[in-house]
This record gives sequence, structure tokens and C-alpha cells, in this order.
Amino acid sequence: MNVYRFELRRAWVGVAVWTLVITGLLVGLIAGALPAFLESRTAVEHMLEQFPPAFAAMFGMQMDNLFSFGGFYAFGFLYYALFGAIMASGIGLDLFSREKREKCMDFLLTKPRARSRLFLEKLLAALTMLLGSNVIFILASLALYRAYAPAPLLTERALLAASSLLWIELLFLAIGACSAVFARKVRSVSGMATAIGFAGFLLSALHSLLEEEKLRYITPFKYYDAAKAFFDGGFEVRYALTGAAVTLLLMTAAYLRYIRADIPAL
Amino acid sequence: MAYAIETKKLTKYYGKARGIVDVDLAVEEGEIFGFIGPNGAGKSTTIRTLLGLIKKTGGSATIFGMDCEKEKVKILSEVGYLPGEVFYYDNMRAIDLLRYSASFYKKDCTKRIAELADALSLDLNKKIEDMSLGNKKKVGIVQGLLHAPRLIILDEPTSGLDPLMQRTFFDLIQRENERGATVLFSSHILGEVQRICDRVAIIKEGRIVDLRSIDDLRKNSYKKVSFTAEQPVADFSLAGAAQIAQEGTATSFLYSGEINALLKKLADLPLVNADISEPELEEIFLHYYEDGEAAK
Repeated sequence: MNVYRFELRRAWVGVAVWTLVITGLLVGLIAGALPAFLESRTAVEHMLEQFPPAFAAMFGMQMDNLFSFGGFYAFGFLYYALFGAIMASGIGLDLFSREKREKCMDFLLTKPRARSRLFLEKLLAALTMLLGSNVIFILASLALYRAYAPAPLLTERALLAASSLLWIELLFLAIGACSAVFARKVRSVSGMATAIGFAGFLLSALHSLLEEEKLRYITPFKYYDAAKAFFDGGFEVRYALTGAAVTLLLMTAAYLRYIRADIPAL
Repeated sequence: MAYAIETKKLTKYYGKARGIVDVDLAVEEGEIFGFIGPNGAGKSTTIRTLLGLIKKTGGSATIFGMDCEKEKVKILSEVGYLPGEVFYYDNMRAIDLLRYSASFYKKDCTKRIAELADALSLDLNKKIEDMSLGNKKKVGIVQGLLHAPRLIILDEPTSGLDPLMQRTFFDLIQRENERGATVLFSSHILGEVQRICDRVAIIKEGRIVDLRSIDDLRKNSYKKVSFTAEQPVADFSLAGAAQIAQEGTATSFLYSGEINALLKKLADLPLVNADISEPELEEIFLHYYEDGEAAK
């Protein structure tokens, strides 16, 4: 497990910073903005009426439930998902392109360790970090839910809604890993991760804008809809399954490529 | 007993581009085997196939009797590899990198790391990225040898080492060889291969064109001869001389044969200047190339 430990040591600080940013945003939005937001409902509604309805949708606002804990929480999810996607694809890119970036593929791959094992140790390190980050996010969500949502509390629903960040991040981890192993060269992890995250954000905005159902099959941020989990107690199965399938598919592709690729001389 | 390295008709194509074709090698345990050829001839391709970094297209390759693809992990625990260019992870001290490297082997390498670093006078507490090219190379050498491998594979190892360090390096390799390690040494510099190798394979355009002992190579090797005489030498000829080129008072040719016969011939000429030197590898290959053409 030396590779697992090595990867954790090299990547955990970045993940910790992202976790702070995402959880901080969550706390800021719920504890800082929600009470004032609910109080000034008329003013906000009045302001939003000035814009076309698609505008609000583009920024993640679903008007029918925006003025409730669940709706407001789900509204924030577009942004948690954006940051989470950048973080998760960043982890995938970072871990799986580490040797490629630092030109030491020869070093790692001439060690007596099967490539499948190397891949799995790296994957395990990535999963450990994502899980750790999400435990913090979920605990914070539940604490805020208890503090700010009106009775009756449905903790399972809040838990499920909060978990959608993890599922989205797993998908983006796979996207990052895939990009890392298929790219000939990875110049900047943060640059590529940001591009991938914003691509997800734009697809989501596009879907909200056009309200085209088919588009949702290629909109990763909406595979696991926090609002649906919150209000209906479950994700929409076909999208959740699409998300799971895409995640597995990309991860498998990354794995096969990693264990088979010819490593060219420098 | 199994060969340390044995390949039979080992072939690698990158798509349609040639890597190596039908390479047959048999390196015995305990020898220092040289592998020379110009850049792009297929030295690295052969080595990388042996190490499992690239997959062969055809043929077979074994190390200590084990298949290079199927039993890669077992093989790699006995192999030390030093690539031509050494790069490591950013922001690591040499000692951290070496400890990480050692953690892949099921033995304690602490003592050997210290010994090797001492022999190369390498400061292990320095960050690798702050090191000079030569020192980075030393980290690579320690990294390749710290687990006392049975087979040492060196791919153009001397680039970036100054002559003094080269000598230390060759001494180190020779000591490892005396310890019992087999060495595969690839290079495009004939001189350094001649310096320590027992036998040498010559590879050109993906194929092995010759395999001989160093002694043999020396005896049969060409010398590059050039001289300037007081007057133009008309119709210079000598048995064993090839590619004779004359321009004014200067004459140059490649010579293969008795060195005394050459010197006698030269002694009779009114020389102003004379130079006898080892030909560049490319010039030797010219000779293999011509032989190939003649055979057709």
C-alpha cells in the first residue's frame, strides 16, 4: 500500500482546501443567507420577475420551491457541484497523470508492482479523499438541516440529498482519471480540472435554459438531483442509472488504458 | 541454465512504424553485455520491451527464464534500471525518493542507499529539483542499484556525467558485476562500451547486424587514418584500406588490418602530419551497411 500512502500524502492538502471552500459555501449560504432570503421573499420575487424565467433556472433556481430549506439547499447544489466537480476531476487528473506530468513513468512502472495494482492503489487513495471530503460535507448539511429546517425533520431525505454531491464527484473523478490516462500530455491539472468543472456547469445551465429532457442524459450535474431527493425521497432512477453507468464505463476505460498503454521513451 | 536475457525474433511495431524486427539476443549470467547503435536504431525499444514498459508485437523475451510480460512483476524485483534521462517527482529530497523506491522491494535497502550515496558522494538531503544534471543522475544510479539487482539495465547511462564521474560510475558497475550482477549496457558511444563490456551486439535500423566479443571487435575494427604529405601522393593504395579520399596533399581512408603494415606504408611517405583514430560509430555502421549491400 505504499503507493496509496504516497498519493494521499501528496494530494490531501488540495482536497482539504476544496472541502473547506465547499463546506464554507454551504454554511455561508444556509446559515448566512437563508434566513434573510426567506424574510425578503417578496422583494426577491419581485426582482426575479424582471428577468426571463430561464435566467433564474440557469443559475439553479427552481421557483416552485426556492423559498424553503430544501429548495434553497438544492439551489446551492449547482455551485457545490461545480466546486466538487473541479475538485474531483482534479484528483483524478492529479493522481493518474502524476508520473506522466513529472516524467517518471519509467520510475514507477519498472518497480515490481503490477500496473493493475498501481491503478487500484491510486483509485483507493482518490476514493479515500472523496469520501473524507463528503463525510464533512454531509455532516455539515445534516447539522444545518437540524438547525434551520422546520419540523417535521426527514433526516434520510436530507442525507440522500446531501449524498448527491458524492455521486457527482465520483463521476467527475472518472472523467479526470480518463482524461489523465488518455491525454498525451497533461500540462496543468488545475486548468484542466477547472475546464471540466465549468463544462459540467455550462451543460447544466444549457439544460435549464432549453428544458430539453434528452439533454439531461448528458448533464452530469443533474444525474443526481438533490431537490428530487429532498422532496420526493429518491433520485430519478433513469438518470441516476445513467450517471452510475457513465462513471463505471469511464473508470473501466481508464483502467484498461492504464494497464495496457505503451510507455514511450522521453 | 537459463540466460539472463534471451529474446527470440523479438519484434515491435508502433502502428506501422518500425521499432525492432526479429531481435535475437542471449545474454549470459554474469557478463557485461553492450548494446550499441545510433540513435533511433531500436536500443531503447528493446530495453523497454524487456522491462514491460511497451508490449511486443511478436517473438519472445525472457529474463532469467521468465516471460517478460507474464512474469513481469517477479522479473522487475530482480532488475535495476537506469534510464538515459532521469526525472523524478517534484518537491522531494533524494532520500525521500530513494525510500519510496525501496518500499517496492521486500528487503531493507537502507544500508545500500547509504553506501551507494557515499561512493558517489551524493548529498541525500537535497531536493532533487535543485540538483545539477549530474547529481540527478546519481540519484538515478542509487535508485537503480539500491535493491542489489541480479540484472542491471542501463540505457545510455553516461549522458550528463563528467569524465571523472563516468569513471566512478564504471567502477561501480564493475563492482556490481563482480558481486554477480549481469549488466546490459546500451550506448551510442563505442568507446564506453569497449571500456567495460565483454560482448557487444550492434543494432541498426531495428535489427541486430552483428554480435561479437569486444576483443574481436577491436581486432577487426576499422581505424580512421588521415595524413598530409609534402606533395600530393599519387594513387595511394594499401591492402585493407577503404573509402580512400584524396584532396591536394591530404589523404584519408578507413583501414582494417595489421597496424604494422599501415605504419610501414606511412613511414615511406614524406609526411607533414598524420592521424590515426577510432572511427565514429556511424562510420563503422557504414561498413556494416556496405557489407549488407555487397551480400545482395
